[in-house]
Amino acid sequence: MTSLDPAAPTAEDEAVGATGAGMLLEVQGLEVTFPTTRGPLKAVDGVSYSIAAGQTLGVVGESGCGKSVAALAILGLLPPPGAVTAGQVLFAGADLVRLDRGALRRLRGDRLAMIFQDPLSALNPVVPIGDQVGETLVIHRQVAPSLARKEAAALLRRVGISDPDRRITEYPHQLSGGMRQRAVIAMAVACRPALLFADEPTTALDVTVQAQILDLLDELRADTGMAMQFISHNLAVVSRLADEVVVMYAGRIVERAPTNELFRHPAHPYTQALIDTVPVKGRRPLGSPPTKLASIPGQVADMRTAGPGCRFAARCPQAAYDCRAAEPPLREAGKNHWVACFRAAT
Amino acid sequence: MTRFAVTRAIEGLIVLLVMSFVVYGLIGLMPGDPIDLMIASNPKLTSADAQRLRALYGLDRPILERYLNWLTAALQGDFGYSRAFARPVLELIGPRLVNTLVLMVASLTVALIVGLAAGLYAALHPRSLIDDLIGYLSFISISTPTFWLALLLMMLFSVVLGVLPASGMPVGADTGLGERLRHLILPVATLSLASAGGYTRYMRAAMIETLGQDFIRTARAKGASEMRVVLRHGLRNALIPVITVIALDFGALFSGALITETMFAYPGMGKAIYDAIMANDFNLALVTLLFATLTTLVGNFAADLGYAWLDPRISLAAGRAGT
Ligand SMILES: Nc1ncnc2c1ncn2[C@@H]1O[C@H](COP(=O)(O)OP(=O)(O)OP(=O)(O)O)[C@@H](O)[C@H]1O
Ligand code: SF4
Ligand SMILES: [Mg+2]
Repeated sequence: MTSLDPAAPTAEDEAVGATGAGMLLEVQGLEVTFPTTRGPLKAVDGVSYSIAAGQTLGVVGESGCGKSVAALAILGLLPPPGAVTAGQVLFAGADLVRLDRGALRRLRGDRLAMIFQDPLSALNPVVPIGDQVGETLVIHRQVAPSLARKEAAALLRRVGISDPDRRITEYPHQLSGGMRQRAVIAMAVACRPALLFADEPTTALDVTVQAQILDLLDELRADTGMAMQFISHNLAVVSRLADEVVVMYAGRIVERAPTNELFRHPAHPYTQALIDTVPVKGRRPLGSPPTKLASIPGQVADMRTAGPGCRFAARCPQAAYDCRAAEPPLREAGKNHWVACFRAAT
Repeated sequence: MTRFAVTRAIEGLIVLLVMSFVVYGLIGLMPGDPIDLMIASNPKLTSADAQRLRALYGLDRPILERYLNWLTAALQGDFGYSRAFARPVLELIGPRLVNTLVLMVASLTVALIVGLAAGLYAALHPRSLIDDLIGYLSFISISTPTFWLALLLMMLFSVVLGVLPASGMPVGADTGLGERLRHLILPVATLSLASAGGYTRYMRAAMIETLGQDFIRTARAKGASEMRVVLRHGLRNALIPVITVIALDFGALFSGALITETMFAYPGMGKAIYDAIMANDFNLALVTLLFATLTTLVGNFAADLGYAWLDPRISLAAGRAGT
């Protein structure tokens, strides 16, 4: 079961070590800053959560709220000049933020893996599929490239690609979009990672293929016992896989709850708005782009110029005077249910 | 692949044919035909003699007829006599062609090694001191005229230091290899320095662009070492545009070779073209200029081949992918 450490880590916490023992991943007070010409931009601002082995955490939020940046920061893949400016990320007893580059590299692709949004651009156009899918075995298991290619064929079969022996010799442009995403998934799970980050893995695909890919991911998770951090701006998609959901807004977590609880009792006005945009079963196919999401009025505030209050205040239907005075802290709103809103019932 | 090569070869022949006619016509437009030159060098010739000679050499016929006569002979391997050198054109061009090819291949090799290595290094250390330095040097290389660079090198190594010959590469097979190499150093240095700056820039830009691609992030996410990321995933992708530009630049390399040869009195095609035009040597000029066309065609062909070889997305068969 996943749980949450809502408070930003205090010096005491860090001294004592990880709270909530048994967690596979513990993110504490993660802060990611991009220096810009108009001052530092905190793309992720004090985010804390944890994932237990074998569990799936969904991360939702509008475009630009920091979902990808948070995941990239954990893996040490931030595009420069972005950098982690505070917090820690505990994985298997080590703090990934302070781990030296070589050690982090040995974890990447082996224990920690990531799937990116666009399978075509994520694949190298001039390297055969088989070589790419088997590459982590060459890197981390010292498997000979010819053997890795054979292994890649088995992996491709596992993710539902027919005629894998031919496919391993082909190049990305020769595969369909769905097949490419399957290949990318095969590539990510080749070393049986303990934790898989899936960043909008179905957004670039058409609706029927989306559903198949989600099923495949869930199947692989059940098979291998890996944990997953599933990132999407689409709450409906997230709800299909996630045991627990984190809702992000402007670089912060505004609500976190087990999936069912979140749908039944959304406590944050932003979450409520998001849920209103979720298609009702039968009316629109699950996973199709939420047409109403864009109609939450207003835009995400620029975090560099925002005032001291709640970041959602400018768009919040329930905003009151005190909302602009101070930032609402993350408070417990129920069992394993946390929310950052002054108005939310607790 | 074969079909592509054959198609391109036929296309190339057609271009050569058209070019031969154009060049033939243009040379025909130059003031003074060979008889005028004879008159100039032999004042005793009367205009009646000139008339007779024109008829003898067929110079009084319409240009199309003359061209077709030339073409018929050329297709049988007879490119006529060089008037200025009093030898068959082919026999004259043979060793010069070899000299030019040696100069071009050697310079291209040096320029590629220097340019690609410098560009790669600069791309991997953007905005570093060495990157800046490489940037300045390539800017100098690009903006320095070839003839001036040749003069500078000559002054330094031949006049001031006196270690290398400034000119006088001997023609003929009887010269020793060491002597030939010594004569080759300055021309090769000139021509390769003139091209290396451009290659450096292409390489740097292409590699930086490639390193920003998503699949590079994927490679890093797999735990690939920097070395593996750059060499296995970056380099081949970056080389696709670079090789193309360089091959298309073949014409520039050739004209650079012509200037270099002239500067160093290096007995190659460049000198031959220059001499032929200066001496109004009709047959020689025709063949040497056609050779220039051929160089450009070969460059384009090489660009296509290199492109197809590096990029599996390109299918030269212009049909189904991967065949
Ligand atoms: N390379 C960068 N340079 C500067 N700022 C960046 C960079 N990458 C991301 N950011 C900032 O970080 C914020 C969060 O970006 P992120 O990619 O994490 O959003 P996201 O939640 O994944 O959105 P999406 O749904 O569009 O993928 C953005 O608003 C952007 O301002
Ligand atoms: S704190 Fe105020 S502004 Fe922020 S979400 Fe709650 S009600 Fe809205
Ligand atoms: Mg994203």
